[in-house]
Amino acid sequence: MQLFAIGVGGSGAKCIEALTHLHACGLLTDRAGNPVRLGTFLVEPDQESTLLHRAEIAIERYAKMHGLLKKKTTSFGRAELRHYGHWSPVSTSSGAIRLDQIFSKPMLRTKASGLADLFDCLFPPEEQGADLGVGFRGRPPIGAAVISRLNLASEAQTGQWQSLLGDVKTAAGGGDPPIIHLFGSVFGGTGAAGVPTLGQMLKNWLAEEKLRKVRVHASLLLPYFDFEGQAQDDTGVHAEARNFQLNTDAALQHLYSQGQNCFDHVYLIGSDIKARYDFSIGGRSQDNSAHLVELLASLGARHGLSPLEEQGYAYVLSRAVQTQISWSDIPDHKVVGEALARAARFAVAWLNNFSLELDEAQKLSMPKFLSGAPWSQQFFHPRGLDAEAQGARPSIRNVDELNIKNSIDAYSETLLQWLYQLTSNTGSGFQQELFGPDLLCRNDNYLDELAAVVRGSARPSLAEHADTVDALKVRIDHLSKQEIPSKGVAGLADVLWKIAY
Amino acid sequence: MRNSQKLWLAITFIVGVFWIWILRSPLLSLVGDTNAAAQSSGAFNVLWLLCSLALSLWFFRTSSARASASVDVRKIQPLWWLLACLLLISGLLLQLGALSLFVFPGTLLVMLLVIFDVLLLFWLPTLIASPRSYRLVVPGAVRLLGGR
Repeated sequence: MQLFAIGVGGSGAKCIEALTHLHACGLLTDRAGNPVRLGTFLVEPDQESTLLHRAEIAIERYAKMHGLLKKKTTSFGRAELRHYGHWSPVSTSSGAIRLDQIFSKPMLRTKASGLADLFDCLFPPEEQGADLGVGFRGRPPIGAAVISRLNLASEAQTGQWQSLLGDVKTAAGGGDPPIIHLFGSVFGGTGAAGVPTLGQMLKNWLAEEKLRKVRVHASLLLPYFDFEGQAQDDTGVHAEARNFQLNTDAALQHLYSQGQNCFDHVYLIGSDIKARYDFSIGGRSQDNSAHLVELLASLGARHGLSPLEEQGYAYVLSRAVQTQISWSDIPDHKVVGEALARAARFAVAWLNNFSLELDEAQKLSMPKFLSGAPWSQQFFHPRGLDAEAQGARPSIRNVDELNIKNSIDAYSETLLQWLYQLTSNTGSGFQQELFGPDLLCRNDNYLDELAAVVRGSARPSLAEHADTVDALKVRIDHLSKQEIPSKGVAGLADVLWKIAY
Repeated sequence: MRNSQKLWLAITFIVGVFWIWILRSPLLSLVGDTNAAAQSSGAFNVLWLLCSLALSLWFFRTSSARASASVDVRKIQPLWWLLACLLLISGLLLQLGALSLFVFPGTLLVMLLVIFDVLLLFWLPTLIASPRSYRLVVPGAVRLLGGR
């Protein structure tokens, strides 16, 4: 089964970042429990967007790690992911990045009389002349006008949508029909304009292509953050927090009347307690931390993968305690909690202990290293020789093994950064009882205690004094050969992933 | 400690007891007079006691120590060498003291037996039964046990 996820705008990109991590945790599965193939695509006019780059870094790091593991693992990093790149609705062959350049008035006049006047009527001069290279500046009508120029039928033949739409067509001919899931906010500019517009376009294209089995879902983010600080006088047209509610009302009204034409299922997620982000018009300065709402939005995609027996259209969530979120507030919290807890514990133990051990091993003879690390002989040759037979233990200094280690390091660091942001960016007066943020960071001192990484019901039922990396190492050392399906760094990571929870 | 380690520890203990209380005294009697052999045996018994104390200390330290990294595990190696050297030196001094009043033709054999005792009563149990992450920290453990 395939899931095609399209993130629209900055919040959409952040949801794709969250979805990538959920996929890495093995949470996106088909009915049989096998990981789905995830395809990601980002729609963002702001090519300098930090949020876009952050999502792409998470995707690329996971994809690189998955590629290097080459199916050497049985559970860790098994989920397939393909990134289709990103598309900017304002990139034109002429290089126009202003609304009055994209919709040239002389051109409009030649098309129909009064069209240019209508354009003037809909868009005031400051909006017509605004630089759209940093996004749609919190104005959904600008985005809707620009994005609606897209012709999916022709894009399916050429252009950046070609690979994505081609794969949707191919996947629709297979067993389980694929799902297209869109992510974006409805209170800003790009997402509010892009998600409903693209949803409707995709539905129309699927109907034209007679791919009616393909479902289109969307996770729509309602206001969940405010801006701290204000724009400068010369900023020009920009997103304003006071417009968020207005934009949301308009988007929900549109959804109420037109929603069925855009999406088969919709997940609406927001928060009454707002996170505070520094004001930014876009570009590199827009470095909003990850937020729990984005995790919940990406869990909508997980929910959409299950057979939808109920006739519901819009799904909503609530929490038990006004000022706090805990695991019981997370949908399917037993499975989701275990998977996220496993990933967090793995990343902490890997990055802050096992990876440091492998670095240490590069400076010592293998027998000397082994005298303090008996667990390592399960995966690496005890005399440091390179394996000649397939499936034998490689040298701990093998270059390919070190490349795998570096890729796992890179992805684990990305995952920890995301978890840290998620847990430390909750908003004023609001607490989370999911993870211990203090431990969710890279640390050059060897970390041993894991008990405080996960909080609440998802914490493994181990005594605190026994919940250590040392205990994991002893457990690894005691495993039988049958319990270690592969050797080398991949084998070590795979075993650690299994026993981390 | 794994069950197999407990089993091997028990076996080495039995072998040690068998060696000390049954085999060694007749062996010493073969190479010298009975009085000297009795003095030497007494010194060996004290060495056995010291080995038992050193073993207890070693297992207490390795069982209770928490090692977050392999470098922490290796930091205990000097303690092992210190205990082994102290046992050897004290064993040799005890024998020299015990045999100082006698002309004992088997002095060289006794010195070798001191080394053998330390190997049998300290090195071997620590080799096969050091717990948890300290499994391979004893000299020779990597070569003998690390390649499985």
